[in-house]
Amino acid sequence: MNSDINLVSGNANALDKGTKTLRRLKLIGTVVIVGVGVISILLFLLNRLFSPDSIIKQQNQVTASISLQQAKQAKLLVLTQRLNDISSLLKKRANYDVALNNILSQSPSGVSIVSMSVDKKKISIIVNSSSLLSLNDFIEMLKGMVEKKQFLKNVTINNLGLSGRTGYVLTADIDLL
Amino acid sequence: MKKNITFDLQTFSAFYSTHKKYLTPILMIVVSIILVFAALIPQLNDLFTTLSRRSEAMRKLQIEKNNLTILSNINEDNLSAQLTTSLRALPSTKDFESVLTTISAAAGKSAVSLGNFEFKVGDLSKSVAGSGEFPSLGITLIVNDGAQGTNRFLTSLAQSLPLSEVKSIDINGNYSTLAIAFYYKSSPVIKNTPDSPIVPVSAKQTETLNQLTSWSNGNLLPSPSSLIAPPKTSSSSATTPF
Repeated sequence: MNSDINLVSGNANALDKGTKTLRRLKLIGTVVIVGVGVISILLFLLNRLFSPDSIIKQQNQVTASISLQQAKQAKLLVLTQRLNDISSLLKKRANYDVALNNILSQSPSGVSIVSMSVDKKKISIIVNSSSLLSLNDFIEMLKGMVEKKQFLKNVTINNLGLSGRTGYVLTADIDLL
Repeated sequence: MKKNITFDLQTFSAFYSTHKKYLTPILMIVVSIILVFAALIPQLNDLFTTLSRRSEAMRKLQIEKNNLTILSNINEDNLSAQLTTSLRALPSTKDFESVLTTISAAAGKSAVSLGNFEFKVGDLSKSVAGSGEFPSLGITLIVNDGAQGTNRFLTSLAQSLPLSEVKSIDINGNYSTLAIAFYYKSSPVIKNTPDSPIVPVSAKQTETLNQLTSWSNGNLLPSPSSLIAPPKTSSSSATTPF
């Protein structure tokens, strides 16, 4: 039997196909609109749930409590800032007293300082002694301090001479660390 | 050959009656698409904005809570005392009185007498607030003593308030000329919002404060008798300016 002439069967197939498409379309339409609605409601709820309003309210309460201690806060800010300034000042200031103290405390007996000039990390010193041995000890002391990197970086002996009145005179330039 | 298509009301009504069943689902899909662009995407953007605002608010709240805890744990009397000490160490203006008191106290402690002194005030109109540099009040003074006495004076001065720095030393036999800078710094304008974090005094800063306090305690004015120069064997006259 030739199916081409079976008009009823072909028509039924076409109808079936149309109904299926319609069903599919209806299903897609319903799913999509319901989905959009559900997602929209979900997003609305999430927006409400994660609203920062309660946090901002809490923040305002804390801010009000802090403002009661504003004077304390200002004092603390000034104090920390000033302490930072003081720390950097203490770090950068030249401690000539320490270098001077070291030179004086370690100077051998019999050596006296005639003059000393300290400026911009440089010491110019004139010492005298009646004994060359004491002056030698003084030079050794300076040398030791340079080797140990104890405040001194460099020592230059400019002059070592004999003065009639004061004995031996030593002139030196010292660079501070 | 061009074929004319006529689309009159009759044709439309025939087309509509055949396809009207498709209209509702297609309309639903079209409305859904419109809703996605008109409502869902803006809502999604709102959600992201809300989340970021929330996290920002949480961060600020946390900072403010920490600030409140820090402030609540601070004893105001101690804080005032610490601030006073720090302002004594680094005054906000040229404090001539403190400078003279400190020099006087250092001279007393180191048992040296002082000769002439001269302030170098500098440009009074120049503002240095917030420049990062430390302005100073310069003073040149004469110590009527040799290297040992000058050294004692310098050691004492280095541990005194206000903070100073010796710029140059010139020791000549029994007297010394010193150039000293006493630092000060004007307080800058503090801009503080409630949500900027408050930093408490750190351990290192506490250490510095303790050091300053110990210097401050030893900075008391000596008795007038201590300012009188000790008897000297040299011919230089010992005069005390203070």
